Amino acid sequence: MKEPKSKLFSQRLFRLHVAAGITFSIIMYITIFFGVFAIFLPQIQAWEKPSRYIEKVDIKDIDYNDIINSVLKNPDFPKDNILVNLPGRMGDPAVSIGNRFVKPVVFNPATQKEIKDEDKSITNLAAFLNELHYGQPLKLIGRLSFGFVAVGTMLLIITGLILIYLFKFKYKATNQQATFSTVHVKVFTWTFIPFLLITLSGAVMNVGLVSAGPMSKILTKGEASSIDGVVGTVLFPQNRPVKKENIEAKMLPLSELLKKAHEANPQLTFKQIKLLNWNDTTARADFIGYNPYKPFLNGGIFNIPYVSFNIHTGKLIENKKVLDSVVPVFIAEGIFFLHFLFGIDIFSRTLIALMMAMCGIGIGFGVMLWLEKKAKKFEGKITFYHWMGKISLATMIGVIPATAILFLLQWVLPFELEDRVLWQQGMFYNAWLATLFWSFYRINSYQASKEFFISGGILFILSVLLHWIYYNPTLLPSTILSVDIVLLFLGVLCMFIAKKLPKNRTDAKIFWSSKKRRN
Amino acid sequence: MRNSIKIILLILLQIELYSHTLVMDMMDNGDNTITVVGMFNTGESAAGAMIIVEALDSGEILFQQRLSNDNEIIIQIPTLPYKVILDGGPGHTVEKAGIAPNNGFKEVEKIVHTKTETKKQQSPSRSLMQISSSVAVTVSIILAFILLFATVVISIINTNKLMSNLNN
Repeated sequence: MKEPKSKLFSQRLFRLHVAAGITFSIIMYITIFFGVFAIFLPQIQAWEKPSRYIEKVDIKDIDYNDIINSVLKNPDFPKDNILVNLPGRMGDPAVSIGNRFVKPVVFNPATQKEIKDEDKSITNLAAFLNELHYGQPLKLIGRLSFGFVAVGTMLLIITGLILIYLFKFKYKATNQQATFSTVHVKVFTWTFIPFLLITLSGAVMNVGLVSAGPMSKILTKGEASSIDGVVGTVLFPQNRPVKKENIEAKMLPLSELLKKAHEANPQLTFKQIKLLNWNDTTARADFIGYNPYKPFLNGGIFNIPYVSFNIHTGKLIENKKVLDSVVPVFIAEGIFFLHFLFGIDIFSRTLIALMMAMCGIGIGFGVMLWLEKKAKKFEGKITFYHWMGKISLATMIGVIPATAILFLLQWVLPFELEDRVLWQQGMFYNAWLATLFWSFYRINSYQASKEFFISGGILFILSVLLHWIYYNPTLLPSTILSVDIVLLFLGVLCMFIAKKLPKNRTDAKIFWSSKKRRN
Repeated sequence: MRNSIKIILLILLQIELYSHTLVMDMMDNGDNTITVVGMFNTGESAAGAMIIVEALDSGEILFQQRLSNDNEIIIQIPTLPYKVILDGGPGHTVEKAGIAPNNGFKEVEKIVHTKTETKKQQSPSRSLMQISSSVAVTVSIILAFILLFATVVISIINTNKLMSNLNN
């Protein structure tokens, strides 16, 4: 009997979805797992550096001039294009004075004293978690593979949506397999729009921009070897040099000019000051900000609103608003905004993180569904011991204790230790590999997953306790303490999951189906 | 077939990461001075980047100064062969051979010869090779290989155990 064409199409589409899903699932899960941590990059960055355990100060009450003058006493420090990062930029409570070509000098805004900054050779936890999110540890190969996985994931989202439409799911699970399927479908039915947009922007960054090199070379007849050489002059702000008059002049307090900048554009939240020709009559300060009322359109890399003053006379030079840019800038800014969440507050970040965590769980259930179908074939004959199951277990659940070790080592390893970051990262990779060994060692994967959750939970809790032993929690700033509380909660959650999870396949069948019956 | 391989190779070889690149131009002013211009390929200013003039024979730094706001600097041409370096930090360094003065460079053959000899003495040997200069990396790599080996071994042992159970 001949199958109807529509049924054949559905079946082929389903097979394509399953094959692509199982191919891309592991890397996509890793991307999402570390992406959730990367969403809280500003908070983790402040948490990992004890030098940032300082009071919050109103940005308008700081004597920036004094700080800048003390930095410029160093003859080797650049005198032009000085960047003053205001407290609160990227969650950093300190003031930093720098230039693109030198290491910034960091100050406590309350005391105006220089802080001994922990650079990335001493601590690099947040940045490392972010690098793991987009495959940077494997350099170009990593970025490209993660990018292609993002492209594959878009295919999965589209085929998944068509399948939901074609199959008309009833969302009534009576057994383990149906529960996995229902969770997988439900999660992506709810979250596919943000997931698709975020994946799309990730694919653009990892594949689109990286592989645009050859096209740029062809377009410019060999002059430009990357896309920024072609479109950079349109997308990036062009700095017209301000010619120095070489007449020394008194500089007005930047804090006063900051107040004037706020009056000129009250919608802006100021993040940075760029200084030109300091101590000259032509000295100029660009007060760079972010307009939270126009998200997606500003505050990131390309569209940067600012208010400029002559620092000597206090005269307003320019007031660049969000909408004073060209359309390509808005498009580029929008794509990057989807991924970087520039200037987004902590509540919106948490919401997006929760949505992405849900997507990670959805992928996990998709893989479990595939494994369950495989396991059924061996039911009653032999224990299911499949390489994909073990690798998935180590990658998806084993990553939890490995990441917890990363957090614990942040306080176990002394800050003076040579190659501290390398030790921390090396131990993380080995802990992750150890979970792979343990997955294969334990024939019963249910037992191994429980052990991973419990060890991850204990390690997360220990990292917080150790942090509190070194730094009195009652004296910690609320932003730092909130990271501790989240880690503590994560630890307890892992232990709770470990307790609840079934011990073996027989228990699992009851666990997943009885749960549905309760609903 | 050959063309497709060439295209693939071209793409693989030409891929560069999306990053701002520093570009440097040098112009001979004709009065034994050169104007060095540095900026990013996106048109952004490179003010603050270090311009270094280094002697080719001895590696001696003859001149160094940070780029000012107008992105250019005028330098007196040295009498020795030299190179100009625009130093924007790791991964952002551009080097160009220096333009000769109106009367050409002074002879430096002897010094070049001495340098070659020094280089020969420092050539790496197999006996001195090591995995990494850092103990942390060496230990981590060794541990990783042990774990991978142990994983392979344990998977074989467990598979055999399950197979013997099945046969029984």
